[in-house]
Amino acid sequence: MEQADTLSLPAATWETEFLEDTSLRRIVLELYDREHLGLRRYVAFLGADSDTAWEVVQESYLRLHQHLLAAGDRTNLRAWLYRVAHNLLRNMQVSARTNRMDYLPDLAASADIRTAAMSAEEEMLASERNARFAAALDQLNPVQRECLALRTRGLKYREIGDVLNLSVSTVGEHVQRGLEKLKELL
Amino acid sequence: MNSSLSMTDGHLSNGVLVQFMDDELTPAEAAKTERHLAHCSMCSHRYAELRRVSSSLDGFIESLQPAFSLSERQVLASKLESVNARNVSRTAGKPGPRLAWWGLAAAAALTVGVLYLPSSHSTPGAKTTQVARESTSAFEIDGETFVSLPFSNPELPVNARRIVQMQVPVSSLAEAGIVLEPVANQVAQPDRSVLADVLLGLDGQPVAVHIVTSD
Repeated sequence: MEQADTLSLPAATWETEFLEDTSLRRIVLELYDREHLGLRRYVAFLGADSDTAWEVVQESYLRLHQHLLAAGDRTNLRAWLYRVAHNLLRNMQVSARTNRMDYLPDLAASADIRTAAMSAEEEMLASERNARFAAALDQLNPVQRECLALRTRGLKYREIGDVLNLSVSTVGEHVQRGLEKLKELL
Repeated sequence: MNSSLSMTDGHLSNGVLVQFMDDELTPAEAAKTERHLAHCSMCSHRYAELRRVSSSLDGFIESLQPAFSLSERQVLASKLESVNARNVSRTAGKPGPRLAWWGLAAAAALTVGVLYLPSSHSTPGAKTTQVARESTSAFEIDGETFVSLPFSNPELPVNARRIVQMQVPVSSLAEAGIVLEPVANQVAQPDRSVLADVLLGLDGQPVAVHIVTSD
């Protein structure tokens, strides 16, 4: 079999267009390593159990791969991932008819406190703290919770706005009101 | 946000403090806020409170589940590997079940690393099989005639190309509307396959084919 002796496209094009398959997979896995725990926490925060969270997160990364294969916009893949995961979960919740605003189904229970390094007393304190926190979060409206959770993941207001379809200033208001409410309640 | 920070009775609003904490102010606004915080104990106290709530929220969310699982990562990795074999119909174009074989073959060919560009001069001794076309169109790349596959995605640019040489079953070619006229007798048998250069589009799916007999 004869090896390619001519390459009619410039090397840069070769790299980006021809060898994309493997490098795209690598990009996806890199983003997975960097962000999948955060993404899962976010999805869990929206009320997904751990199986659902894994399903949503996995599908989000597979879609990211499709997005890259289709030469989609790459300017902010992190925010893109959160948006896709957010919408996937919402769609699942709608189709499962469980969309009754019952986020945080039992966050205190699903909060998996790292027991190994903790004494029984510390553990109890931590779980009490978490229960209090979950109860306080329950008092916030859903959008406030979503804004706060995305903010905790390090997303900028503009990115949060992209995920939730809100303006930057609206995001700012939700973050502020959410924090104020938490401050009152805790 | 305009440069005049919203103040109430000479103090910074919670909105400003939160945006300052989140690094959402302009540099000028942030500098002004910082200066104010340096000498206003009331605002810096409120700011500290907001920070405390914020960091305990972070801690709470961090405590929600999950641990890294190597097996899950492997599941994802292997799914990514097989993506070329799956339909890329989500992106655009018509999926069509017939894509399946081509996609699989293309993915396999890529995996074993026979990715290459065809030389513009045919291998000596290889005869180009005549191709009778129905509703397909043909175009040239490096002097070789490629026949468009009818179910390829027409929106993808042809010039972004990648060519894989592989054995293609004659029956698959027939499905694509490409009927081979026998040059050598064995080629025409439907269970046979022929060596072909397959042009892959950006989506990893075959766009066109150029038949090379391998006899």
